[in-house]
Amino acid sequence: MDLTRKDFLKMSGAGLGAGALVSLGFKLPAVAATEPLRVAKAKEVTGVCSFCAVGCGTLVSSHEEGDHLKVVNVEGNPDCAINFGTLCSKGAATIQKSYIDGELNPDRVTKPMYRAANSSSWEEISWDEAIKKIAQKVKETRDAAWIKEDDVIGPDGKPTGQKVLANRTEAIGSLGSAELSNEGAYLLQKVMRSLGVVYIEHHARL
Amino acid sequence: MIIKTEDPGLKGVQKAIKQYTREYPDYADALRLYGQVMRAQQRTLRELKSELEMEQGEIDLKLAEGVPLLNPLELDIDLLKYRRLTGEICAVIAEHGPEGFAHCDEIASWEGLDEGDFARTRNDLLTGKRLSLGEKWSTDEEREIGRIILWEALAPFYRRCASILESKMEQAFWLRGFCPICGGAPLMGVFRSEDGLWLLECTLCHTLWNVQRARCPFCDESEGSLKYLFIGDNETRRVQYCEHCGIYVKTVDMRDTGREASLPLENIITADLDMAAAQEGLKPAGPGGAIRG
Ligand code: SF4
Ligand SMILES: [Zn+2]
Ligand SMILES: [Zn+2]
Repeated sequence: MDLTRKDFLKMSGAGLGAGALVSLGFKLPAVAATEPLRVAKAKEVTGVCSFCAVGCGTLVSSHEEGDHLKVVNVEGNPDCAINFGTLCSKGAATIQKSYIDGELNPDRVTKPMYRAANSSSWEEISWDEAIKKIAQKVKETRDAAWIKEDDVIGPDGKPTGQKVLANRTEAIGSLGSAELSNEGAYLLQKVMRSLGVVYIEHHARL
Repeated sequence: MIIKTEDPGLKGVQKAIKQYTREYPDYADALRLYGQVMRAQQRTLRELKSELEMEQGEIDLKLAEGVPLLNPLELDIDLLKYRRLTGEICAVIAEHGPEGFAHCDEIASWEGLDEGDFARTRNDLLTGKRLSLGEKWSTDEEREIGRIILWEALAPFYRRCASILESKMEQAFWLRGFCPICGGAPLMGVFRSEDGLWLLECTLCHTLWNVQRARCPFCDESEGSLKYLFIGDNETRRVQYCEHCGIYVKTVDMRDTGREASLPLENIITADLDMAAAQEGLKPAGPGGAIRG
């Protein structure tokens, strides 16, 4: 390693680190080594476990491999006030969504998939296609099953012949995610209500 | 959350030195030398009393505003005890340093440690200014050793005050990259054995404080900028660094080890990480022991 004592002085942190040791005259093994240091780089980001409504905080570590990052570990985030660093067995296995024993999980869906009506097989489609298809289906279903008015029922339980404006569809339902924030959940139900959807459910899985 | 830093005491230092020299024989001489320094510090610490008092309201307010609880530039230090400890550390380095130390007598008679000049010496040390040690100190290395000795002798005096304040300190108010008590730079970090919480240890008062994982504690522009590097396959000892501000702090992961780390000793055995960091052009937190706040 080609570093002089002067270089070490510059890297001296506050305590008795490498710089100070070299100043004192110690021969550090790392300095004496002829091989360059095998340095690897990695990164940790925060995440949220996706398996239930508790929403435990996670830390996802990934190693730099060439020009991309590979997820190597998912653990509980000690800074998260929900789980203080712990995860249940489901959460602790989160990494298996991407990798099982270091190999890509073959069952992981990474692209939109489409199964045509009456077909038994899935085909890969683009995001543009997928979004267009969903919009089309929502429009068709909503138009076909639109309830404009409801009958007004009298005290005897029979229709009075009067009508009341309803503007809804009962042919579409919404299942929210367990990990939506209050704000996300608010926006989701707002979009659904604007479409006239009345079956708006959550997905607690507690 | 309150975090209490346990002082190792003489026995603790002894035990740690034994363990680290066994596990890291390549660093045994350096570890033994620093063990002697730590023992001298612990002996002085035992003798020190502090009558420091601070209202809880004042503590909470200062922390919330990002102001360290003590002004390190105004701490009263018992000069007699400080000089004695300085002499002890000089003797340790003269005896155990591979190249000895020729300036013990000069430090003992240096006017920078006189009653009238000491406040300036203390503050020059703390703010990383060059000390006016005199002409006999001819090389940068000698001056650096002098600085290390004088710095290490300050530690117990700050530690004593810190040990009183830390039990009243709500960690959630702080989460910054410099010491909440004295403003000192972190010596090293640790992922706590029981839950992986990231704690930093102050170079000066050796208080442990909490910072957030996956965020740079040193700058505000840290969204996604914190990375780490490690050597070979050993991820338990790493350099946590920020791509934005270029500052690093070495950190040891103590989970699954079933024991506590001695960060001053970890700092020695991870010297290769400092070299790796230097190769990447990174800067240590608080070069020269500078304080902030
Ligand atoms: S309780 Fe388990 S499944 Fe639910 S969020 Fe936490 S780790 Fe995930
Ligand atoms: Zn401190
Ligand atoms: Zn930063």
